[in-house]
Amino acid sequence: MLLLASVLITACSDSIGGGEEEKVASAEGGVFILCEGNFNAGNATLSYYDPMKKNVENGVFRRANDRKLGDTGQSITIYGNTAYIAVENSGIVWGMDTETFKVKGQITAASNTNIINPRYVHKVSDTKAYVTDLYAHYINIFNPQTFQYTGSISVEEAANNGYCSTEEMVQHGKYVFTNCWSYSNKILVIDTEQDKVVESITLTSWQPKSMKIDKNGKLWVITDGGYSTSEDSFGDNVPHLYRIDADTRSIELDQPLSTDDANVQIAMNASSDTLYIINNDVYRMSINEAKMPSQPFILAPVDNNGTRHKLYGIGVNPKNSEVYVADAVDYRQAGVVYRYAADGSLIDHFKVGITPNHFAFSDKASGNVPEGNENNNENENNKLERALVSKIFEYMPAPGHQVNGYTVVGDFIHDGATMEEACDSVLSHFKHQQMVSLGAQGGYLIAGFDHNVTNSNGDYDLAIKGNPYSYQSEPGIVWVMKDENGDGLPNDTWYELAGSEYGTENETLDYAITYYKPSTPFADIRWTDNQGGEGIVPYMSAWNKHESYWQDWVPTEDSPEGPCHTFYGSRLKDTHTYENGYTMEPPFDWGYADNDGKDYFKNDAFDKSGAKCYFKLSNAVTRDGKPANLDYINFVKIQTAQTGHSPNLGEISTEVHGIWDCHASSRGLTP
Amino acid sequence: MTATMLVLCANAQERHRAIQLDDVQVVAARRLKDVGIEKTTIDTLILHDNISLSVADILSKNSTLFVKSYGRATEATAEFRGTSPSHTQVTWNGMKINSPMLGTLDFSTIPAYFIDETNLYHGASSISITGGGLGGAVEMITKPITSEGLHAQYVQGIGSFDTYDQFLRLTYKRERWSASTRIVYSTSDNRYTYTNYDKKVDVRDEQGNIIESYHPEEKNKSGYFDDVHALQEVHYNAGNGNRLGLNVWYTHSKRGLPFLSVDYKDDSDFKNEQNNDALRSVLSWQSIHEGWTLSTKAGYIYNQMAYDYFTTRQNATNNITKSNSYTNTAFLSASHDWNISENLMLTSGFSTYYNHVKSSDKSPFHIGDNFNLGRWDTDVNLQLRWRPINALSLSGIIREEVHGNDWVAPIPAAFADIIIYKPWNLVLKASIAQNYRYPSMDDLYFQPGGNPNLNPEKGFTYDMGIEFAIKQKRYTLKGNVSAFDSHIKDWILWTPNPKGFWEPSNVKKVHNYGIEATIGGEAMMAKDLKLTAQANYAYTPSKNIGEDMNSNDASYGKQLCYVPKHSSNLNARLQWRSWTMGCQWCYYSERFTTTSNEVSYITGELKPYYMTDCSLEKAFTLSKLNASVKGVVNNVFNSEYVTVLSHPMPRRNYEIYLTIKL
Repeated sequence: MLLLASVLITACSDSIGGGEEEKVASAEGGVFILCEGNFNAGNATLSYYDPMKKNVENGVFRRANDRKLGDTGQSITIYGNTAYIAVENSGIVWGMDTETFKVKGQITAASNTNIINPRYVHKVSDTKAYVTDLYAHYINIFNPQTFQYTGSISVEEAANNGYCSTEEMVQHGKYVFTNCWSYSNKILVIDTEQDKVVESITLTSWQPKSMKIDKNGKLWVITDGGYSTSEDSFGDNVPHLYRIDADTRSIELDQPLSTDDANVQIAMNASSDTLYIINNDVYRMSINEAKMPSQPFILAPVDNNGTRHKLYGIGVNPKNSEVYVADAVDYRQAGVVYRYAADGSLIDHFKVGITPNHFAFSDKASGNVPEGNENNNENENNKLERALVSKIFEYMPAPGHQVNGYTVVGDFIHDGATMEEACDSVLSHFKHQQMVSLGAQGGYLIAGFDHNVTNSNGDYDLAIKGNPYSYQSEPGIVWVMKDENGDGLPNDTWYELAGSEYGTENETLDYAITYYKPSTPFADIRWTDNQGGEGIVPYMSAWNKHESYWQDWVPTEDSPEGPCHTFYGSRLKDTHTYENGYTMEPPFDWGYADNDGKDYFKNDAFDKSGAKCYFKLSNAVTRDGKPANLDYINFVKIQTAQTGHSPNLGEISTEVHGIWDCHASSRGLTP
Repeated sequence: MTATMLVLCANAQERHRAIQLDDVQVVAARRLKDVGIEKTTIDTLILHDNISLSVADILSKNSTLFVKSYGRATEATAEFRGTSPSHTQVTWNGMKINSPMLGTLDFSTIPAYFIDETNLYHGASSISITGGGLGGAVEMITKPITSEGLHAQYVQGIGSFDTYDQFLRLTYKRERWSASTRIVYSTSDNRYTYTNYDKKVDVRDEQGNIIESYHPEEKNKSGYFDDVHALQEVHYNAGNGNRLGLNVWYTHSKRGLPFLSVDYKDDSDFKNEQNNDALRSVLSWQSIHEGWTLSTKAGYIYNQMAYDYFTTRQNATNNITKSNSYTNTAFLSASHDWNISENLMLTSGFSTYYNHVKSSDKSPFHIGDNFNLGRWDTDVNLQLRWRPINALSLSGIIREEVHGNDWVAPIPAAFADIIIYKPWNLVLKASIAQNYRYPSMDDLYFQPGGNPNLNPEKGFTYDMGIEFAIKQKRYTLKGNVSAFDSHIKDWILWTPNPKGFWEPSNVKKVHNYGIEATIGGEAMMAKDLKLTAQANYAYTPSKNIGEDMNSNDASYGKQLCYVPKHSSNLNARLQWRSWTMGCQWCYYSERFTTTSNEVSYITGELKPYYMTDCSLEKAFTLSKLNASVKGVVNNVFNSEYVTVLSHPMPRRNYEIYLTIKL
């Protein structure tokens, strides 16, 4: 009887589920790591990493939603604040809120669909998204807002030996391209207006596995080459790297790669000009290079006993080009993710779920727009372009390793360029919202609008995009000018836009800093200032291999120490710290460019696609600190505000991706 | 009429009053052949407990083996002492029936009613019947009938989830000839209901706000089965020591592979099905003489296995994945026992199998033939048994196996037993052995991924234990306890390569050790009231001690996936006149699903579970007809549990059986 009673009690407690929904906190710039799990075990999980705190939370989907993610997680793609997670063997695509991790909706392989094993999601417009599939002979279509199934696109012609697997998708204009992996050598071209395959591109090797598109509209495709063993083969087992023109659909580059057992995958940085290829190790190449470098950028970790880790997945943070790669260990235990800085140095590593294979990067503040998605917000982009500055008058960077020839991005201004050419390049970068570095303290640019930017007296009037993080802000002071003499040139009075530090001990007005042009190559650049200070801008070949960080178009003056240039402006206190190999560059409260302060956010009225720093013209002050009361302005100057450098990141340099008139979109423009 | 019934019942009670204790084998009568052997016997009474049971069910409830089952009538493999399913060698009437392709056997495909005796050889003891059993060996035997004349037995079972089991046995014995025909036909929709904690349904209002969430009640999708088995046996006893036997067993099985609890597809659109046709036959001739016995066997196995995953959407059948294999095995063996003296016995044996496997598949990773190959697997062995003094027996075995052109290193084993206390039949036993398991044909040749350079897995094991058997007037009690220690090197593990397909390699090293204990007996509680009970317990730490995959590998020293550290079961049967009440209870401790034994993941461990099944049977006798009615309640306490991730098991369910014997 006693035995029976104890059995009863234990039997009742033998529960297999029914957990609680837990609140899991999201963070700024968080990284989602999809862990595939084991086939047929239903143990796919989602991990979430906070790069700032270096904290990882595992199983966040299950914890937030009290349900499993499913069997064999394939991909995670973020659009706005929704992550679309394709869990292939469960036949489901989840829509998950990137801040709360709560399920917003799902599309499943229900009877009224053609979904079987969903692989990747691509958002074509606000009301249309495509889902590729390993088994179905269709790409399925659904509404990414309502999760209503709306149709499918037959991909029968991709078939080789029975499979019509479609994989990653990229968009160029109205065309979506998808690579067909299993037993195929095709890239399909889909007209998004007709939702129809209109063409296919045939490759010279088998099984295109990964594909991205660069800023010039070139497709980068990597194949795994099929397989070849002693008894059986399909293909030659050699991965190939291709560059294909998305307009002409012609193959411009076809490079066989050397190794045959790799999990080949491509990632692209945010400015879509640098590829990261995982092929045992991680390789990095500029889109302008003719072939993949022979030397890896990041070597797969090697243990003391010589064991080389096998890398399984790759992701590149579009915000800062940090590289994440995954080690699945034995595929039956917690995998490990390695996080590398943009220069390839290891920042962190941490344990996640089983078989980590895919990464997605969110920005809580901005709602990151993922790579390959430039065309999704075409109207938004047109609107932004109208609001953008129309001319760069001066680009006067102080020395800095990210100014030109920055390893991650490459040259953006050719050798011997004139000021005019440099300014044109800056404007071109702004049109693509790409990064322009102002170099060290004092470096600046002057831009002008083709219209008056009205002072709304209290609302935000200007938006300036940078790449700040709460742990890596490189503030720039913003100056504005009204074209009082009406000559269209920035030759009137500059007014500083007071930020949170104006008038405090953290800001030095009337600051001047002089940089001395180095006489030898590969040398640090010395500076002195009018406060009795001195220092260097370090030469860092890992970041930039140019002989010198002195730019040709920056004029020089003579001094006893040789040619130099002096920059005038204001200075903010250097607040960075460096400890245990990590640099912390905290933001100021508000009022600065490239600063993750209170005014760095996504402004739905102006731009709902990405975060920017916002500025009020009502903060403009005269030299003696009084309100300038400008009714409108025409020109903007941004200058790097802090001196100082850190051993791993180099000098503090404000980065600018564009300057916009916040009112342009709402009221229309009159030139 | 009532009077007649009363008379009939009275008759029935008379006949069933002959309830008595079973015999206990005394050590003086121990066969020399069983010297030092750790053997557990499961007898007909247990095997034929009910028609719906497979050998997998029997093993999980009546032995120390761990049976990993994916659910009702789905794949179930058995492991000894925390090893892997391929380390369990299985013979049927002396012929190995492990799949030469996979190395394993699915015990769920063997109806327990087709087996009359099962012997479990633990650890080194398996070497007395076959090599390669790094965990042990399961010997399944059918026995010639003993009752003269024509007899018939029919069992009709009806169970929950539209389950129907039919069993018919016809036997005929006359003088030297006997014949037996058994047919089982089992079908089930198997759509049991479970609360799916892996899913949650959100109910939203018009604005899309969640107003309610709940874990849905779902049906087990695609769990159906439709199995037919027929076993024909003919025996001839020439009376001069020569016996001939023929066993032919045919199986046709169609089974749905149940959808995972995390599958959102609709089973009306998708079929995932396993179809199996198998024919196993053994022809045996045994010649028994004074001082020596010669046994020869010839056999043939045909096994076709097909897995089809397809969709029937748009009213057309489209294959998604498909895999087919055809195995043909020819078998020949001879074994000679020579009783040199009363205390010395020499056994020499030879067996050879020619296995031909043709396997092909269609998957995104591979389309076409995997391989189409034949291989000879041959074994010769010598076994010497010696009883120098009455209390001590020793034996030694040496086996040599040849697989294809590969000579595996010799397999030696030594055994000893000492009688400690005769009245209790208390015997101390010990054994030590080195054993090898040769890779399966999939391990070596599967394309892509098969690794022809694999080494055999190498096991070293030793154990020691005591057993006893006590018979008193009102009770019998017997049991054994043994401790074992075993190391397996070059353990073959399949892992995915970066291209996505799986490859085997000799990477793991495993240390298994632990304790196995069995205790059982019978007691006459009162006149006509007998209690029979048996309990089994196994403690099997089974640890990976292989080299780390890399510095991130946290699996060193951790329990192998899905191997419980503790498992136990208890069976009790109470007989009173024509009534029999049975209860079976089993327990498994937590099982880990990752090699690093992560418990931080919700999916990292499977909780311990207890399972209780009960039955009540009433026998009747009506003239020449014996009949019984039996009701069974499985999962009495309605536990919600899983034995494998994402495969929920049925909750409380019922079966009723009607048996008629003529």
